[in-house]
Amino acid sequence: MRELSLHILDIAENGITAGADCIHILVEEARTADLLTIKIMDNGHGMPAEKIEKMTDPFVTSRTTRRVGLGLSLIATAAERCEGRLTVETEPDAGTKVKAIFRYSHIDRAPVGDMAATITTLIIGNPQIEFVYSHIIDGEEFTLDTRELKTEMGHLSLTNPVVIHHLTASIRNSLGQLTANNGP
Amino acid sequence: MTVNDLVQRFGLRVIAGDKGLDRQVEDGYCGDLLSEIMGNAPEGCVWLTIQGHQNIVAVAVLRDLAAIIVTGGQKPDDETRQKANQEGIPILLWPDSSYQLAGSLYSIGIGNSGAK
Amino acid sequence: MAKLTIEDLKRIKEETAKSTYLRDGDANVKITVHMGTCGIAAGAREVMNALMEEMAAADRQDIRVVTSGCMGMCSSEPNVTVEIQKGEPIVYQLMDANKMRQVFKRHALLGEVQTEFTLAKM
Repeated sequence: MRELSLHILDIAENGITAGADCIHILVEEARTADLLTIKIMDNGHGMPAEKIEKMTDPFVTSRTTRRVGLGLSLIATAAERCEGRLTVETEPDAGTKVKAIFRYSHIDRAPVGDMAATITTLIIGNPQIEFVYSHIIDGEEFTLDTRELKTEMGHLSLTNPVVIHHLTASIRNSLGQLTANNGP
Repeated sequence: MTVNDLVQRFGLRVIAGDKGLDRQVEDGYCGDLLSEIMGNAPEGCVWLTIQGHQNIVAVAVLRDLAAIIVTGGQKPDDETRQKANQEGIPILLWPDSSYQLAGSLYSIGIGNSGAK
Repeated sequence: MAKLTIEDLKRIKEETAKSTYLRDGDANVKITVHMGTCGIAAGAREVMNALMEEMAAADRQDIRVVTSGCMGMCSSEPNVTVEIQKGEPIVYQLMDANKMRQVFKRHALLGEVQTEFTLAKM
């Protein structure tokens, strides 16, 4: 994908398909360590451990396993291309944890991209699902928790397009601050 | 042929690096994997890619490319344009696929010493 | 650790105060933006952005936007399905931001199917 935020959107959608009602997304940019880490954790129905090997095989179809899609193999390749790797931990009824690491400065490492658009797209499409998003740049963290947000917003729905419009702008702003504070 | 000749001929939109428009075009290349471009792109080529982040300018400088043509309707971000202006590397836009433009460039003799 | 500021949240609430959007209202119109891997790769997120901008401008109570996974028509992604009052779903293919705006304004708001962008009937 052109941006890592699109991989994140894709993998989070897997969790939703797996029946998760809470998805944690972590993006950690550790420039001194030259490491970029992406973690997506869901509390969906998980998968039997023996399926893990096949998970990044794009030719495994829904006839032999739960539909995992091409998404995992794409992010796996993206990570490996950047001297990193993908690891998946999963167990039936215990959810799935996907972790992708990349060498931060690798020339082929796609930009993180528009995380605000990814998070709000997830929120819009899944009003019953809770999302916890943390973005850390060189130790400084921004967090968004839809549970807290819903409490704050009161009667206003998070799927209200006007809320989404302003929420997206606010997230972009906060992330922009984070980047500015920790400039190269 | 200069970069500007291609701009005129194919109606390419110049969005950065106009001080480099008089650069000679020696060849053409297509590719979206930056490490591969770094390894293989010929000096003085026009490089067709869908990538738009600022690393493309770094690669173009490293390999001494004539210009970058961003295809597929993609638009490079602001940092990319700034870097390209600083380095004098033209960035041009093409709304359709790399394949289509590459075919046209090849047919007018870019990277095709037989057909001039 | 930073979160959205109090000012951010206040502003969101203020700006939304005049909106008539209801959380659980009956939807006359349902728009599904398909978010499978192929859809995302082809630009579904940008289609969603455009749709939400149009939704905010229209401020209609009865239009619901949902996402769904891959529907198996990967080569025509991004796909968007529009369903009016539980009628026949119309599947739009090869969508982009501009087409989405047109489909929203003409089909979702005015009921005119934009046949130039549709798939054959489901």
